[in-house]
This record gives sequence, structure tokens and C-alpha cells, in this order.
Amino acid sequence: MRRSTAWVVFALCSAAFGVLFLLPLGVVLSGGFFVQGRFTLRYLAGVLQNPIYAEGLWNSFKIAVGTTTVAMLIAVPLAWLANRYEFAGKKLFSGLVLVPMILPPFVGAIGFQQMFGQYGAVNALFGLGPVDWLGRSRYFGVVALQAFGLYPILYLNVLAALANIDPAMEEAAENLGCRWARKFWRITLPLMMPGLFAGATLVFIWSFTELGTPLIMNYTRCAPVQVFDALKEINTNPFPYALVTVMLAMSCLLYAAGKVALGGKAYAMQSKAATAGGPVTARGWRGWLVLLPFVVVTGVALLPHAGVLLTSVSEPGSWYQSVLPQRVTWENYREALGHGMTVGSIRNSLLYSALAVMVNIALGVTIAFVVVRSDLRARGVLDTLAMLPLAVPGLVMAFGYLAISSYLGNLAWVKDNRFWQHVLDVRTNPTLFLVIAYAVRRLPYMVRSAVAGLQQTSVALEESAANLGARPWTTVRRITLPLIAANLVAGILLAFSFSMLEVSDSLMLAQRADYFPITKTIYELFQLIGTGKYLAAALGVWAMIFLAVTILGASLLLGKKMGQLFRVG
Amino acid sequence: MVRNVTVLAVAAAVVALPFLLRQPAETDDWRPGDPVLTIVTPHNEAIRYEFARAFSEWHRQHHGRPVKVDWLNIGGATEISRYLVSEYVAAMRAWWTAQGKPWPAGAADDMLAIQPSQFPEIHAAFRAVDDPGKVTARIDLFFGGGEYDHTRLFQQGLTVPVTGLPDFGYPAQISGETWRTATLFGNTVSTFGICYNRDRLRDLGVVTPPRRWVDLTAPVYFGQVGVADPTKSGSIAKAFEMIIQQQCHEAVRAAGFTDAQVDELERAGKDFPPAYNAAVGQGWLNGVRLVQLIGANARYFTDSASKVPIDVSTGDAAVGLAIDFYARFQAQTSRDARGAERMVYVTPAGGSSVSCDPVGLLRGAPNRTVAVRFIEFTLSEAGQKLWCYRPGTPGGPKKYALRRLPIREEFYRQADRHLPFVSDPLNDPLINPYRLAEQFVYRSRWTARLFNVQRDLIRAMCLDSADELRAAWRAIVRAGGPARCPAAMAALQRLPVTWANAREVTSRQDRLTYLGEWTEFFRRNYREARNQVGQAASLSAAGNRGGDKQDACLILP
Repeated sequence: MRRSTAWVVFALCSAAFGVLFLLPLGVVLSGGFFVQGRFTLRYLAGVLQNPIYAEGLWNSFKIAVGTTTVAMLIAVPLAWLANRYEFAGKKLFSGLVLVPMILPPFVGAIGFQQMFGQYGAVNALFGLGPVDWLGRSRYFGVVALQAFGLYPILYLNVLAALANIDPAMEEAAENLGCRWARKFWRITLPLMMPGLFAGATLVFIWSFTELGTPLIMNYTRCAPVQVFDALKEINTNPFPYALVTVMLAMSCLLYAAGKVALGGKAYAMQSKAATAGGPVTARGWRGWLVLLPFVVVTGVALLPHAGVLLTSVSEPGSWYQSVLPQRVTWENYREALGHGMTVGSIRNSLLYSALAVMVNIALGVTIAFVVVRSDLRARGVLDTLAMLPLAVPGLVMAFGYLAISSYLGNLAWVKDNRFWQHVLDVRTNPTLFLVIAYAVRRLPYMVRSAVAGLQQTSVALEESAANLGARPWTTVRRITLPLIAANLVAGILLAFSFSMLEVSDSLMLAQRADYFPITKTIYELFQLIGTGKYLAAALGVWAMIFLAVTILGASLLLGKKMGQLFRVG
Repeated sequence: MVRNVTVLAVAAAVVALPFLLRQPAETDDWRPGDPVLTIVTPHNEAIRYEFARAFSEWHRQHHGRPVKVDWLNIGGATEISRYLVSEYVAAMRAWWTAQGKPWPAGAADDMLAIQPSQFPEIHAAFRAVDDPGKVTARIDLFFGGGEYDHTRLFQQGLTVPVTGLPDFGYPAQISGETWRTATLFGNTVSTFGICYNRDRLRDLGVVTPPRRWVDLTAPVYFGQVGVADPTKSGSIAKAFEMIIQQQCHEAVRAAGFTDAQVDELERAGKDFPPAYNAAVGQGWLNGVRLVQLIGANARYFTDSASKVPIDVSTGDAAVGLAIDFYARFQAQTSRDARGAERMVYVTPAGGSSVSCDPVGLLRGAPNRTVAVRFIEFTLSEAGQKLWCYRPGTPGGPKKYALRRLPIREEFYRQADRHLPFVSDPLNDPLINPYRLAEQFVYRSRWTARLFNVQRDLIRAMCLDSADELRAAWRAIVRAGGPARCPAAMAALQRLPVTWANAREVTSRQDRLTYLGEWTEFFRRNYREARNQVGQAASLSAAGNRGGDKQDACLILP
């Protein structure tokens, strides 16, 4: 990419990213530094000096380390098995790999509680009586729940890295007498290190800032919960904004440290040698043996989902002290799916998510081009900033967008003009802001996918096109984009799925029933006293099945290319 | 190919299902040009549906045209209050600067203060303007959310008075609660109480179910109490205030003062006998310590008030503090196979005030006329019936039983007339809010001025030091209970302030400073309490070698 072009593109995407993400973030965080109109570092100092918040940050760090470790222990062996062996059921479980990540909000906690509650299914199954799983060992509960929810990211990344290892390397090692564990430690592990660290960094940042799981387990002494508590307090309190700033700074540092630890470039493999190697087919009992860990891990990871599913078909009050609901009904589905809000909210969610994905592609691919194809020094900063949306608490961004919309909505030329009201004022129509919010929050996935794709695509191909007289845009359209299509589709899938399940922005920005996305409808149904959680579970299951089918379908269509995601640096 | 088609077919089927199951939209005779009312509310879908439908019908009958209600759903009362404040600040600022006047830093805070300190002209201008063309949030009414948030919004200048409404036959003030002012119109009432799960109590070996607040401090409920967070909800904070009030009341009575004497003293407002104030102070300490022990038994402090009855009904918590209609409704859907309710709700006698859920008119309402009619509707017999009648009964809701109580006294005086149609028997003295309110007399001087202090104390005492509190309490319970560990209990229950000096201590310091100090204070004391138990246990063990008998400790999970 020519320097001048690179600078122009860099400036454009920085500007877009700045307006769409940094501006609302800044508006909110400034609340921690500008109190009563004056700049102050008092609250920042207060966060750093206050033992409660220091403890919260330390606990979050411990959770992140625990989650990442357990996720690695789950994901790496699975990925190694999937890379090495062909076995019956492999395609199915490869498709199911992302499903643990799609747990619908609000009802996911209910599903988990129905399984592990004192009168829940697990206690009933093993005849344990009212053992209080949720009340004890909250730290391990949080780590386990998060690890089983997040291991797919690590799994996909490690699998992609393993798939890219030239088998000739391992065969050369074996030829020289290095086998089994020693080979794994000295050859395989270093070669897959970039993939491992990429996934690990993502899991680490996510679990460092995740709010939902600590709330389910009532683990209150961690930074995200402290932020949430302070944000929801009756008296407006500048503290959480200072705390969020510290959390974000730490996330950036940790991400940068992860990048540095990679140690320069990955071991580049120019081509895969044509060998007779490749996955070994495991037949018969060996096939079952290889399949077993997949079944066990997926089964455990899907327990909360099973809880939601069973809640959705149970008659209110009939799943109590038993393994399964005593009375089953389809009435919850009829009422939830047939509810006046539902069809509209499904349509809205599909619209918002689809538009968000389009914005995502445009912005994400452009950022990826700058990061990979240019040699600007500043591109590392852009790369790090593009990961920030992963670490910002949803509520904080929602406040930011709300504040900006409120400001715009009160401008004279917006207030008196119906068209601009519909565009800029979320009280009238939240579509624009929801699309931006969804797009920005999922930007990291798209950037990572596009970066991975561009890194694996040789520049030589683009240069040849240029040599033959193709203009830059033609090259991108006809050469580059088709080559990275597989990676883009993977990013699109994740961005789409998580946009459909997005909570904070949906709750705060979609205020009128006509514009509710599906997560808000789940929330509204959930609030109905009595049958609410059953109706919400039914709608949640619908959302889960829809997304599972989408992901499964895409992975079946894409095959092995599905695994090539999330390559950092 | 087949595989691809199958996948697409399944996806299409999943997407189509809601469209197939969709019920035909209810025909509505509202046409563009008919009035639209915009209401912001934390009320759930059931209440919104019934009131929108019934109000439109009522308006058509009385004023000729149906009304479409546009609901704004932003979250709970706290979220709505914050949202409204930011909207009005933005609107006021836009209007002020459009007139060419400067908007200095700090103007927003001053505009909302009860008394302006820096910018009286902005403060006065804000409270004088009530014109949707000038300053407006483009919302007509705030419906629901509890009296606390409505009063606060009024103090901040966001709600405006409504005059000319008839007397609907209910008091403005009762049991220390405000039910009606010029800006706030209570239309339904609720109490706060205890819900418990019969099966869990049986598992825990509890024979007598909890009936009073103090019952929740029993060691057998360790880790089994569901509690809502008073720092996140004004209504919950008020409920905790009432718990403390009840303890003050009992201490005063124990000191020998009759209710009549107390009435007289509080009415006079001065020259309080030292013994009387000392009793109030002691009662306040007792109340705070009671809350502390409930916190020690707490499973969590949740920001979602509905979580507690849900958890108690599924058995995840054995007992909980809950709002009455949440608990009653949840109990109804948690019947076992024989139809018996697994969960029971009870309002502690004399332990809860009866608070109202109001509706208020917002400043600059776009459709003021229809908004006032909505207020009138909620207080009319038609509106009041919606709260308590069963679905399908004449005048009742169409689809959902709302299970709440009307506020107008005639519904209770003439309960027999309504009995055939209501969900809950209005003549039951345990349900009749006027009877319940009589049992609770609120003395504002005792706790009102310490409202924020109490909330901050609970936060430092139970939330920020939760782990240490639980560890200390667990140790005490394992050692045989409070009676056997007096030194540990003394350490546990030390408080940093008294009733007499609390306000002075907190006004001297910045909130964040004293919050931090109090948290440190409690954590230190809880750790000391735990150590005291450990030392007493080892001393006792040493003594045991001499042959002393030791009673069995409580076995905890």
C-alpha cells in the first residue's frame, strides 16, 4: 500500500472509529474527571488508593488468569485431537463448538440455577439433597462457568494455528528421534504459540471485564461488578467512570503485553509441503475414545443451555426438586413466540444486526488493511484501540450513546425536523444508534478475522494484480476480498450472533416497543411476574436455536476454514 | 448440496415459527389525528397492556376519541430518574443557550438543587417554564416507580402540580408515607415483607416460620436469605428504614413511654426528655444491628427486586425480603401438583409501612390535557378495578391479573361489593392496607434525616464488607451462636456512629471518605470478631481437657 494512501485510509478509519467509539466513551468517562465543571484526578487517585477497588481489580485479574488457564486446559487438547484425527462425529462437534457462547441473557442465569440450584436438577440426579453449589466457592464457580463459555475462542484459534503448521516440521522432528510429549513441547507448542496467545489474550480481556457471570455467582468483589454497582447507585457517583478508565488502561496494557510476548513474527510457513501426512482416521473404539472428550466438554458446557431449554417447556412451578420438569407444555412457546412484541422484535434484531455487520465489514476490513498492508508506525495503536470495544462495559457505552443522542435531540434543527428526529433521536427511533453500538462492540472480531486473512494471503498476489494494471480498488474487490472471504464469513458469523444477543445498548437505547430488539423482548417477558421466566426462556431458546442453526450451517458450508480466526499480530 | 439445502430449510423453519404463531393483532380504532400520550414507566408489560387498553376505552367513552399510549421503557425507577434528569438538563441547556445566555459549569447541579446556590436565575427560570415548546423531555407522565423517586424528581423540579382533580377518597399521608401531593398521585399500594419456602424450612429443621424481621437473623438461615439492595433502589431503602423504625418504636415502648406520650412529644417537637431520646437512639442502634445480622445471613444483595421471590419459590433461597405483590404472584405460579403454594408471603405486623406507587405529570408535557385525564383515570373506579379484579370480570382487566391493591378507601369499606370479582380478599385484615397502616406509626424525626446515612451504613456494613461479615458470623454460629460468643458479638456489632452524632459526623466529611473509613472499620472489627471466636474455642478446648462439657455446635452446610 502506498504511504499516502495508507495515511489517508488511516486517517479516515481513525476518524470513523473516533466518532463512533471514542467519542461516546469519552463523554461517559469524562464524568470521572470533570466534576462540577472542574478537571480533577481525585477520583482516579481514589480508585488507585482505595483498598476495595484495588482488591476488585486484583480479583478480576485472578479470575482472568484462572479462566484463561482452565480454558487452555480444555481447548488445547481438544484442538490437538481435532487436528490430528478424523473420527465419526467430528463435523458435528466442530459445528457445535461455538454454541456454548450463545447463551441468551437473563434466562441463561435461570437455566444455570435450575441445574445447579439447591433444588435443582444436578442435586436431584445424584440424590444429594439441597447442596448449595451456587453459594460456595464463588471464585471457582465463576472461573468454571466462564471457562466453559469462552473455551471455543481458544479452541478455534489453536485449531487454526495447528492447521497452519507444516507437517514437514513434525515429521522432521520424528525423523530425528523426537516423539510424543517431547515433540509437542519443543516443536508443536512453539509453532502454535501465536494462535494460542491470540486466543488467550481475547479470553483474558473478556473474562477480566465480564459482568454477567460474577453476577450469577454473586461474586461481588471484582471490578466489573463494582463498576455496575456504582453505576446503578441512586446518587450519581463519579467513581465508576474513573474505575472503568483504570480497567480499560489495564486491558490495553495486558493486550499490548500479549502482543509483545509473541516475540516478533510468527514462524512463517510459506507453504505446506505435500506429504502423505494429515489427519489420521481413528476407527472403531479409537474413534469413540477420541470423540469422548468432545462429548464430555460440550455436554458440560451446554448444561446451562439445557436448563434454559427445559425451563421453556416446563409448566410454571413444575420443575422443582427433580431432574426434569414434572409437567411439560408447549404453551410457553405459543405465548412467547405469538406475543405482540415478538415478531416485531425479531424483525428489528435481524435488521439491526445485518446493518451492523455491514458497517463492521467496511470499518473492520479497512482497519485490517492498514494494520497488515501498510508500514505506518501508528498502525499498532490502531490495532490495540480496535480491541478496546471488547473491554468496555456495555452499560458505559450505552450511557455514552444515550448522552450523545440526547444532546443531538435537543438541537434546534433536530427538534423541529421530523426526518432528523428519526435519525438522531433515540426517543423517536433508535435504529442508527443501535446499529452503531452493535457494529462498534463487534468490531474486534471483524478486525481480527480480516487481519488473520490478510496475513495468510500473500502480498505477491496483490502485487501481481497491480503489475497487470489493476487499480487498487479493483485489486481489493477482485483479488483480496475473495481470498479472505472465508475469514470474513467467520467474523460476520460471530458479529451477527453476538449482535442478536446484545444486552446493554438494547435495553437502554430501544425505548419504544416498536423498536425493541429481541433481547429487550426477552427482558420484558422476563419481568412479567409469575410466568415471565418461562416465556422468556421460550423466546431465549428460539434465539439460541436460530443462532445455532446459523453457525452450524455456516461451519458446514465452510468446512475447515471456519477455524481460521483470531490471529493476533 | 442436500446438506446445504437442509440447513437452509431448518433455518427458514426456525425463523418462520413466530410468524406462524403470531396472534392476530387486536383491532384498535385509533386513527392518526387521535391523541397520543407518552408515558415513561418501570411497570411490566401486563400493567402497561391493561392500562393502555382500558384508558383508551375510557377516554373514548368520556371524551369521544381513543388514545394511543406510547410507553417508554428504560429500566427501573432509578434508571428512569437518571434518564429524566439528563433529558431535562439537556433541554434546559439548549433553551437557555438558544436565548444567547451562557451556561456555566455547575449550572446543571444548581438547577436541580432544592435551593440554588450559584445560579438562582437558571433555577427560577427552570421552575417557571412549563411549555413543551421550550423545555421538555417530550414525555407526558411518569407512571409507577415508587414514591421516593417521584418525590425526588419533584424536588429537582421535573414534575409539576395538577390542580382541579376531585377528591378520590384517600388520605394524603398515612403511616409516615405520602400517598398524595399536588404533583404525585398514588394509585396503588404495597407493603414489604417476608417470603419463605415451606420445603426449605422443613429441610433446615425450622418449625415456626418467620413472622418478624428479627426472625431472619436466626443462625439457621445463614446464607439462605435473599435480600434486595437498598443502595440501588429508593423503595428498598425505605423498607430498610421501616425495619429500623420498628426497633426504635419497641425501644421507646420498653423504656416505658406509651404511644400517647410519644404522640405528644413528637407533636411538640422540642424539650425531649433525655431518657426518651436515649431510647430512640438505642432503638436506632438495635435496628441497624438487626439489619447487619440479616446482611450476615444474606445470600446476596440483588439490584433486581423480583429475583428474591423467584429464588425463594425455586428453593435457591429459603427466605427473603420481598414486595408483597411480587411474592403473592410468584407464590401463585409455584404451586405443587396438589395445588398447594410452596411459597408463603407475610407482612410483619407493625414492621412495614404501606407505600404507594404514584403517577406524576412531567414539566413541559406535550399533551397535558390528556395526561391529566390519565391521572384521573387511574384514580377512577374503572382504573382502580384494573389493579385488583380478576381478568374477564366486569370492569376488570382483559388478560392479566395484576394482583395489586387499590388505594381508594371505599374499596375496603365496601369490600363485599367487590369480593366476587377480586383476586385477593380486600376484607382480609392482613391484606387491607388501611388496617396494616394502622399498625405502623412512622415518626419522621427518628429516621428520616438519617436516610442517606442509613443507606451508606448498610453499604459499608453489609455490602462492601460482606465476605468478612459472613466469615465472622459463620464462626460465631459454628461456636454455638451469639449467646456463647459475647466478646465476638461485641466486636461484630460495633458501629462507627450513633443516632445522635451520625448526621454531624457525615456532614463534616466527604461521602467517599467516610464510606472508605467505615468499610475499613467494619472489616477490621469483623476480623477481630472472628479471631475472638477462634481464641475462645481454643481456650474452651484447653478447658475441655479438664472435663468440661461442651454443648453441640450448630452444624452448618
